[in-house]
Amino acid sequence: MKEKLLSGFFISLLMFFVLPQAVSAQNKKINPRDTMTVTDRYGLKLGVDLFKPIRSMLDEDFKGLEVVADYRLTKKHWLAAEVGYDEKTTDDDNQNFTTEGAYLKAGFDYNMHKNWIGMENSINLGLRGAYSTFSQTLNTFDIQSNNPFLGENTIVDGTKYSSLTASWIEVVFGIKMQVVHNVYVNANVQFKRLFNDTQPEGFKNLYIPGFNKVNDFNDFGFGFSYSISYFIPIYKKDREKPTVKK
Amino acid sequence: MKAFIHILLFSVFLSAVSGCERDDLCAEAIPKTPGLVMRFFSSANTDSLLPVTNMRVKFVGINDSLTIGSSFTFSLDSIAIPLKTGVGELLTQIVLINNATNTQLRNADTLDVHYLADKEFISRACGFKNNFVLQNITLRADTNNWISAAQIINDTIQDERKAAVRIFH
Repeated sequence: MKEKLLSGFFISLLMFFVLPQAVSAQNKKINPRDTMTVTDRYGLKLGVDLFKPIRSMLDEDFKGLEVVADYRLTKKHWLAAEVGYDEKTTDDDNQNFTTEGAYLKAGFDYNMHKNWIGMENSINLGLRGAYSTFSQTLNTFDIQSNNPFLGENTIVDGTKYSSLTASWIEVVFGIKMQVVHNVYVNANVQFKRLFNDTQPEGFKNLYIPGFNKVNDFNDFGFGFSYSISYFIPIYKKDREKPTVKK
Repeated sequence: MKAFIHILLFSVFLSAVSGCERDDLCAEAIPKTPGLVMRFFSSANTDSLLPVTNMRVKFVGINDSLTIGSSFTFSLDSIAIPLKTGVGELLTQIVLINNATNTQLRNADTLDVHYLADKEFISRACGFKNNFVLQNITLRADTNNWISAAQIINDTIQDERKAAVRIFH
């Protein structure tokens, strides 16, 4: 008897809290705006980096290109990947070397931006795993002495260190803006953390394709990208609506 | 959107600034190509060190005397003499002059040092250094050698912490 009373009390207490919300929820549901169906377009974006070809033309020590792609998975998640190639000659005070190789980055983007209906821009936070395979050619190097009395000696070398690899992760902040129907302009900055690289024997990886400059004193790197891509719509999907009780 | 563009610009700015961090200066204290450490012993008592009085060090083909710090005349029982840097088989011809400040007593002896040089990467800022393996050291005989013998005691030279050669006089 006592139990029944108690359960009755709890049920009424529950009603007291839940019922008004249910009513207000129903009120919301009769708002005509919410009866519209929102349709999202799903598909593949394919593009190229614009900065690298321009740099290739202006800077004779650099050749590079990058292809970018993303594929929409859910309302807010995209699969994303970049494939590229760099050939760069670095001229430091003490060494001149040429790095040549390809890289692949794959991961996802999360869109933090709420679009107005009909707009398809995004502000992304993304994560990538990246891998590069490359070679280093040591063109010239200087030998420094404790006592430089006999002069600094610059050696013309040309040793090529092949089959080098590196892996790292990137955190990507970026925007993707639809500028013309189905044409997107993308800009992002990448913060990188190197995990693993095979070192050339008797030298060091000071530049890695896709990772860019490698510091002596830490494993962090930085990059940016500015690309243009084309959206290939594959299917449409209605956004999930809250079920309406009649 | 606006806030985000600001964040984006700010992070580009930050990266540009941090990119200017000087990692292209090589600190003086970082060990580079070591010199050939010679110790001078008495030829009469081969266990005891014997400093050379007023020694100058020259190299065949180079007019100036070796300077260490600001001095070029040494009365020491040990000295680090730079070797020619490079890759592969090398030769440095060292001229040791004792009593260099006295035109009557001065005496120059020449040592031919043959060695193998190997490169080692230090850092982006410092570049490379050499490590050496001594092959042989020969004293050129003249009518009046002040040096009686030169002996290699450590043929691998990677730093200046150990003596590589003993000179008896």
